[in-house]
Amino acid sequence: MRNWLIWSWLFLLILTCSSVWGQPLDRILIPQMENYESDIQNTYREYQKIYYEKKSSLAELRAFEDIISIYVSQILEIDETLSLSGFGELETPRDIAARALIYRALIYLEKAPLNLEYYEKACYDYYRALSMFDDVDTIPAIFKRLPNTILVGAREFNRLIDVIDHKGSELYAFGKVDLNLRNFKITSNLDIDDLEFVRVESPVDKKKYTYNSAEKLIKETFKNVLMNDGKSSTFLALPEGSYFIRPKTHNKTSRYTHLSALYIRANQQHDYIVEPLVDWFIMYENPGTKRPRFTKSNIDNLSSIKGNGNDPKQGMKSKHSNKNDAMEKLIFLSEIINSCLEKVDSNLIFNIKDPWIRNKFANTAAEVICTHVETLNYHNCWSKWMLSWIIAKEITQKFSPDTEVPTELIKLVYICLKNI
Amino acid sequence: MKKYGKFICCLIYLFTFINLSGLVAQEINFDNCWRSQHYPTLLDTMLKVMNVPIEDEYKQHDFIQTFGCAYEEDDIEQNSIRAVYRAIIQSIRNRKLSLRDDLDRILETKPPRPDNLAREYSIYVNIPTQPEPKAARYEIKILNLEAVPTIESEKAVWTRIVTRYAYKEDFNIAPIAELTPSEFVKVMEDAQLILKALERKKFSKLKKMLLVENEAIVFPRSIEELKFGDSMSLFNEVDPDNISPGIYLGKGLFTCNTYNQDVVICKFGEERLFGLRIDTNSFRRTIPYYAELNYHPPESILQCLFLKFCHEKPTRLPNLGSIR
Repeated sequence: MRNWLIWSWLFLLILTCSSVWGQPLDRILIPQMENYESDIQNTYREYQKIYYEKKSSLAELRAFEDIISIYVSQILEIDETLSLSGFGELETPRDIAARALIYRALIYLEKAPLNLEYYEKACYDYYRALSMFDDVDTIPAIFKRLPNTILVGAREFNRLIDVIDHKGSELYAFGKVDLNLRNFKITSNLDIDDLEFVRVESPVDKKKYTYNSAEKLIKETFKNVLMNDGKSSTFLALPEGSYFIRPKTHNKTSRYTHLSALYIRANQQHDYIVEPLVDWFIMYENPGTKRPRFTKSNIDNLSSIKGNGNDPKQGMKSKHSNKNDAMEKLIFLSEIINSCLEKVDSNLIFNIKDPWIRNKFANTAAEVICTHVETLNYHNCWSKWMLSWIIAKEITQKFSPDTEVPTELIKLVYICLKNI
Repeated sequence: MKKYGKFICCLIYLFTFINLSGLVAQEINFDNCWRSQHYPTLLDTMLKVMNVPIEDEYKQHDFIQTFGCAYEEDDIEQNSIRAVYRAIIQSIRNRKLSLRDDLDRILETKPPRPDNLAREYSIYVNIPTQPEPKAARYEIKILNLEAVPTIESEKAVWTRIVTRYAYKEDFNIAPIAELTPSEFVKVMEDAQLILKALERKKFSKLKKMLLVENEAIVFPRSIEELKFGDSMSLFNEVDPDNISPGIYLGKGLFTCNTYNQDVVICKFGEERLFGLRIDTNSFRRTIPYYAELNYHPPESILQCLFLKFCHEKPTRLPNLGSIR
């Protein structure tokens, strides 16, 4: 509390000074963020050293976690200040904030084998970092090159996605749930403190990942909904499985719990809407699945991403009637890739200047994308960026094995996926 | 003493049974969602009140009578506003007019309540005349406004209103009025049949009644735009070319056929329990009037239908192998 007051006071001071001296706020705050980031990097390095020392104590590790958390909260506060101040150039602070969260997630991942709760904690930071890029088409910070390389164990990394790939496979055991509460009114007859969040136990569950933060977050969101004009939202990191909300006092039949059931699949995003329903509420998913349409309109209207309003049944009929389906899809996808190549810096994607190689690259990429959009990965992957990363890795493996996945290739795949 | 002991035990059992059956009676009747020991349906109430003829004094002064009802909100005042709004709109449709005023705002600022004195309104309408529409004052009198507990909602409201042009000369140039008492009630009747067919799991009948196979007139682009009776395609997660239809009910609920031809009532997201996915590019509307008249199925019925069959569903998502 005291810390918070001191930092708020400092911010006010900075704000006043900047307006007095006429110096833009971002020129003061962004370097400050960069300093914090390098402090986080150093702390992370130290943390690794201490963690793998034999005599390291949990108290020491805890102290390091606290230090990093302080840096992270400072960075997030500055990022919020800058975005609320309406500064145009928000990419750098957002990138730093996302990286800071990922660093903390990595620290939690180091300790997680000792304490399973840390997987959950890491997941919240990881999701929060990626959700900063939800409404924008700019490439998320984890795919970009780091300002300084980081040492994890004995390996050096240039990008955070490579570190996550190396160390963070446990993060993929969780699913992200976006909860959006709406249409709640003062008259809603809900005793929020009486709610409990329960998991359907199953022998299939291999590892007992935790979901300790979920109940508190759900209750807070329910409390906020009445203060925010009937709307409120939050996100949860939940291990794969089925969950439901029920009243602790059990004054409702057990069937009611089906209305508030959540079904989570690992490494997916689920957008749930929560609305009042008679004397209880209903939680239902906002379906985000769009079957890819391999039609001419995709190529003609590459700029428009929304549906074109054609009767989908008609499109399907013609598609099914065609025996050369697979070949047509590949041709369409190659054409899309060729047009998308103009939207990215294609010089940074392998060496595809030669028209023949470029054509071969487009065909390889089309094949890989085609297999992915026809399989579960397309509908189940929780973020288009992550799916782009998976596809880009596979293209790299096929086209230029043993090389680093080019960032521009991830961008290219992302644009293609948005256009089909 | 033993004799009395048995008697006391019997009394206790009887007392517990009566109490429990009382509790059950207060809860949902899962045998028949449309039957209640306490309340009638709003449709029955409306069909009864709509038999009331317009009084001669109003008829002689060119008034027409229309009806409205509402059950969607958990608040009598809001339902009263909706019911009166529906009755006024019916009158406007009957006379082939269009609104000039913001009727919603007028009703919100001076809300009609069953127990207050807001009984008369005056609004401006457009009479379709050539070359341009003519503005006219329109009088509205609420003759009945009653809150009635029904199966749909304990706070349901129905209303009977009469309306006319304020000036005779407007009446003379206006098109001849139809005398439809309430199209909304007709829609409620149709919807009730559909929901009853759904309760009996007659999916093919449902498809016929909702003209699912017909050509679509509107293509909703998101679930926010979906209305009762809209259809959609669901595809198999493993074999995406395997497609089955689904019908939207409201409040995130829909019905569809699973691959073993079971009819299920799911909330969005539960289709994955059966290995299905909704294609959001496939939303279609073949019947316009549920959307036009802003029809929403009663929440109590939706809840009952959903809960009635929920125990038949799996509790976990199927294992689809490793997903990266």
